Amino acid sequence: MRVLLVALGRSSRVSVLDLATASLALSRRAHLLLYDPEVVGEAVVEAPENVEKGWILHADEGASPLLVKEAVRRIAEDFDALLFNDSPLSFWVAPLLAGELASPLVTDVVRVRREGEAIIVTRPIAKETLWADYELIGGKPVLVVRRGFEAPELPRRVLRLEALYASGAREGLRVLEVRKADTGLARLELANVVVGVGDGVRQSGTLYLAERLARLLGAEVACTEPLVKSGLMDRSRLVGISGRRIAPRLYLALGVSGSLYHLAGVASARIIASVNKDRSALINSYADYFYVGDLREVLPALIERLSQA
Amino acid sequence: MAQEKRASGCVLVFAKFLSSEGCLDEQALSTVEFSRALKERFGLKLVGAVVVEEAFASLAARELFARGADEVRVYAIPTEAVRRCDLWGMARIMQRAVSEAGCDLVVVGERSSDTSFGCLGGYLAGMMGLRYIRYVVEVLEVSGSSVKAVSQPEERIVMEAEAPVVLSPLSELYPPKPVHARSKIEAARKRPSVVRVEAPDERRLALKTIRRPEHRRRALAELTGVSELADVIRRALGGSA
Repeated sequence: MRVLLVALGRSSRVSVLDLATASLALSRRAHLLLYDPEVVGEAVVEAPENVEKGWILHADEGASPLLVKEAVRRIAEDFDALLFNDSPLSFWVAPLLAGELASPLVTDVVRVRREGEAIIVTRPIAKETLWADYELIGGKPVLVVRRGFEAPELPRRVLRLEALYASGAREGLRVLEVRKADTGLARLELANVVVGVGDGVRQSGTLYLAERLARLLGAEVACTEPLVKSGLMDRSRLVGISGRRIAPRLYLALGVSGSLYHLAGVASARIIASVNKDRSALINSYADYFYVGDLREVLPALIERLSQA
Repeated sequence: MAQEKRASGCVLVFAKFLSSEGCLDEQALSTVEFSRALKERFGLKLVGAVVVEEAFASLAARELFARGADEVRVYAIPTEAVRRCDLWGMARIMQRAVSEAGCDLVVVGERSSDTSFGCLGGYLAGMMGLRYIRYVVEVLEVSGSSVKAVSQPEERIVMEAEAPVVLSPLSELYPPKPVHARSKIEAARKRPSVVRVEAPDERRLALKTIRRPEHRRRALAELTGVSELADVIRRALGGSA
């Protein structure tokens, strides 16, 4: 089976391991197509050895997702299965392509395996409380692999990517203007430490303390939906919905109750620590460590202790 | 862009109904709110569509009417078909709904499907050869031939798409408004159109098992002091904090 790994978006490079690992159940060899609008010219990536060849897609500034989809489609003709990374752009392009191809499409894939000739993929359902295994039927499978797909340590090497230029008519969907926003999502995806702020921070008025703690730790700040809805934080900091998942070494959740969608977004963190005044907060059932306390007292004390040499 | 054609004057919104809870999905409420905003801003007719077991047709329709739908179309599927209906099957039913409604705008929420989170709108657009704009923040213009909208996957993009177009809005930007008692009373007097459909025999996914997640076991250790918490953080950072 010929497998094409498709990594789209600003943090596409960090997805290569997820995709390469997921593809091992389907084929020992895979090809990679990477598109990062900020990369110009030739590129190299660190990739596991099963990725034998790769391309980097280039497009004019303001290229629409339609143009990216068309480019992927042309390359995908030579492949039997497509694995996309977990990014906002992939969640745009993958379903469009899958619909055109009348393919089986599954997102948030956490496991891939074979049973004889059958391909079985696993994804969470019922608000992350259960896992479902699906057999793919017919067509060219299109999968969106969840960030932090559990992977063994694979030997890696430097892979030089061949440049490819997206071209073609842009009828139907035109980009009129692009305003580069804070690349919060890309920084979150690459961060080693992330401080997550939830509604408890908003209610206790301790956002400024949470941000001070983050600066002290050299951490990025993520948030839950209430913070976006209240206007306190930009949507680029929201973690937990499609294409917005992170896998830092440490995720420190402050005042986060633990909506299952948000938890899905941080489930791949190596260590999760939570501070919440409610012992029964759902996040405490998903954390490695949790501390029950009032943020107004905890955060100043924590900042003081961590500031000591 | 395509030649100017006569605008349909309507927006079609698909709402997910939770049979187990007897109400519209929480996120569907935001999708409907977004669609109602389009109706009010551009003077469109709002057509609500829902795929549900026939027993819930009235309940689902009443909720859509109460939230501003001018017309509701229920596509009623047999109970035994509910489990069998995968993304492909659902998209085929929606394809029929889109063709029958003939609206220039089709709105599909991000959580419309359990098997492919946030992808049903794009999948439907791909099947039907329609344009698709996702992460919609705001619709700026609607004409018979095109739709101009602001999308924010990461950066903020203004796009123009040839109509008809499928939109998936950012639900957190459109929290549902309370429904007034009068709207509920009026909704109870309205009747949806109910069409019985079968889930297509052809499938792309076959559910094999449902099981407990294989989450990595977490320690679930309760810390008793801020000092312990600081120690945890320092260790996680390799002692560099």
